[in-house]
Amino acid sequence: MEKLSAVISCLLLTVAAVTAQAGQSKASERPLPQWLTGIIAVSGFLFLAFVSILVKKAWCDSSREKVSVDSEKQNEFIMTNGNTYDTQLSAVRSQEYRNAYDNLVIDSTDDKVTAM
Amino acid sequence: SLYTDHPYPACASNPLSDKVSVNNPADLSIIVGYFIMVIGVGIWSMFRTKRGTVGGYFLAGRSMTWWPVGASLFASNIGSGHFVGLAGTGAASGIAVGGFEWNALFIVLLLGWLFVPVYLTAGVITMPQYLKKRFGGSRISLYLSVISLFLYIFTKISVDMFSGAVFIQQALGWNIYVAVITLLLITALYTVTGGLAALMYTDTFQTFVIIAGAFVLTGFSFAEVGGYSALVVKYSSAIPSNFSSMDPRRYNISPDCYTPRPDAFSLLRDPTTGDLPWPGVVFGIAIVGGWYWCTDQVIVQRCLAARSLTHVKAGCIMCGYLKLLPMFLMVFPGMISRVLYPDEVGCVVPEVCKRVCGTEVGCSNIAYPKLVVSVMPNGLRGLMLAVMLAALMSSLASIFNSSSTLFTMDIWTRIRPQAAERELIIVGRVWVLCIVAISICWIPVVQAAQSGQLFDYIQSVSSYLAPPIASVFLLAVFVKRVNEMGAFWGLIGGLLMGLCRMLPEFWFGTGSCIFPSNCPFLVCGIHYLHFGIILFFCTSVLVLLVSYCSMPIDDQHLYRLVFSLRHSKEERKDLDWEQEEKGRRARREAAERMRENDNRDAVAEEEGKSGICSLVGRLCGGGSQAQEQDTPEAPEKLPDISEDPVWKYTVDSNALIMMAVAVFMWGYYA
Repeated sequence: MEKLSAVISCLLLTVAAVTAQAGQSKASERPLPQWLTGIIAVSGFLFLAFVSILVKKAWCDSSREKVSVDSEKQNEFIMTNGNTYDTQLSAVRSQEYRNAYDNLVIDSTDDKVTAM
Repeated sequence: SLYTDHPYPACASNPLSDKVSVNNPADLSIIVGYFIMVIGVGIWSMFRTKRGTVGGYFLAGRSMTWWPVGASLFASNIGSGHFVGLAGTGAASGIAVGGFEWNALFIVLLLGWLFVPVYLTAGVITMPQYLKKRFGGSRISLYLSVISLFLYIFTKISVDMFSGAVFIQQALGWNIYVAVITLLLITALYTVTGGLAALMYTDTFQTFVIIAGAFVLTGFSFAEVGGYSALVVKYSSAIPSNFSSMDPRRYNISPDCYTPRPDAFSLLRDPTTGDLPWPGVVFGIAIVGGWYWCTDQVIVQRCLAARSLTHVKAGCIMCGYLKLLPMFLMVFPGMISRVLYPDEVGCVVPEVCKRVCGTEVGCSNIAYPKLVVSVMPNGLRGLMLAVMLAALMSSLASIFNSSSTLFTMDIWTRIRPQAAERELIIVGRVWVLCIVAISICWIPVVQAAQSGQLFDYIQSVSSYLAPPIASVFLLAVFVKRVNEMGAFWGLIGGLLMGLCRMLPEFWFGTGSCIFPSNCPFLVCGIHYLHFGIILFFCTSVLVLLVSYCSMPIDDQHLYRLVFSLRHSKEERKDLDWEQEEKGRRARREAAERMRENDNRDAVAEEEGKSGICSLVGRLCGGGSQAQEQDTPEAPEKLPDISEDPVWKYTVDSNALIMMAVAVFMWGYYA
């Protein structure tokens, strides 16, 4: 009984499909409904747009970094004391005050200990 | 206007079965009302802008907001050729012809975002002027001016006049000369006096008329055919009742000459067997569109008249949205027309077609006029006629104005470099009248093209001559290395290649389905859109090759002339500096001489000025004050292309939304 109803429903389905196809003739030769192809196209486009915005941001950032690194290098050139190829710390340390770069507050040995 | 396959000459002596004259009061009052509104808007805009200067007359004082820009772009583009051609080709072969319109959605964004910023910072008025600044020398700009004027007369003006004549003959039965001359005179009136400002405001009004009227007709047509799904079903069975040959010895009619195409409802068709193959539709139309929208004077001039770059971009987006409509307002009604009247619109037997519309090749071009005459009730027929007139007048007026700009700023200033601003404006106006006379002389040509393939010729003229120009402009804006020699030889090489295809094709004729032409495969085998793509790439290769083999142009000559340098603020040493300096010196000498003469004759002249003279002077845009203005030539300030960040984001995201809508429509109908 079940098999018979399954066969009948299959037959009905194929008959319906054939008549639908014959009725709508060439317009429904498309595998997907039209609105679906439209939506797929839009999602593809938005994805590409998103990717290109990211790429553009990365490009702009990298070129801005390059520009600022260049200007930094230029500033270093200006601020080092004459020796351009000398990368020692002594080149940028000031010679007058020996403790100029020491943080005197932290390095002091007066520890404040709270009495228990 | 690249779409009408089959010619439809205006045959005055042809009896048509249901030719209806518009002679009832409702129709006539609408038409008269339309004309009064147009002239009114023209006169109102005359008082809004100062038309005494070159910038005021040719560029509307650079003061236009985004909505006249967008509406003017649309109305200048949509002409009567669109109504007749889109509907006719839609009736004959389905919706792929709408791809011409929907491709423009993207090209118009290229215009606003990539090309106009460069044109604005370059500070030019015409496109040949831009090429002159970019490359130096004068042969490229001369070539471009001449070929642009040629293309205007032979493609745009003739197509629009032709289609307007079709419509007038079909729907009105008026004498063709009377109708066309009246139209042209009214158009010339507000073009000559008002300049670009009048044009852009009247274009805005005409856009409303076009869209409203076309919507009404579309509504009635869909009601008549039973809805959209009914159209899809019925179109494939819209076969004429007479399809057997009347003279089997001379010809036989194969079924695919009268059966509607199975791929009628898809935009992207088979690359080898389709009538509009998809690579051609996607890339070929983009290239020709690139010429039309991004490098042609008519369209670019409207963008240059805008008040700021943000307004340009917003106008381009508005035009893009409007360009979504022709598919629904013109192509679908054309297909409906074939469904409703298959024996007339879809006729195939030559003798039958000759009886119906006067030409043996086919009658698809009467698709739209037939709908107007048969489907529209009284009163609304007058509205449709107003729509056609609006389309015709807006396009023609724009072409007149832009061709006069080209002639005045590029050709006249070369002949007479000492011409002052006042003289240039007068020359511009006189040229409009000349070109009106040329357009009137086209009418007998149009009528003589009885069995001619006028529209086919016009289609080819665009696709075979435009790609080299598009390629040179694209490379000029984006590639700094391109120099004068490369551009010139690229243009000449591209022209020769295009002529090699165009002339043999004209010679052999394009033929029809029943009588195919005997054009050899080598010449006519490649589809014209594919040929356009090949021509574009060959020209680009030639330009780059010759440029790399010769001296580059220094950066100092290129500031604000190329896309990568559009924001630079450095002083530019113009390549055409010498020529400009000569012109400036000549103008200064002429002005001084005129001032000497004036001082001598000042007393005598004042008594002679009559009332009519001063009225004409005021109509033509402030006579005496203009003269005093142009004697000290103020240094021009650089046009600003900076944008407010908030508006920039608004406009950019709007463009993204519009592109998404366009992609959806393409995907839906692919």
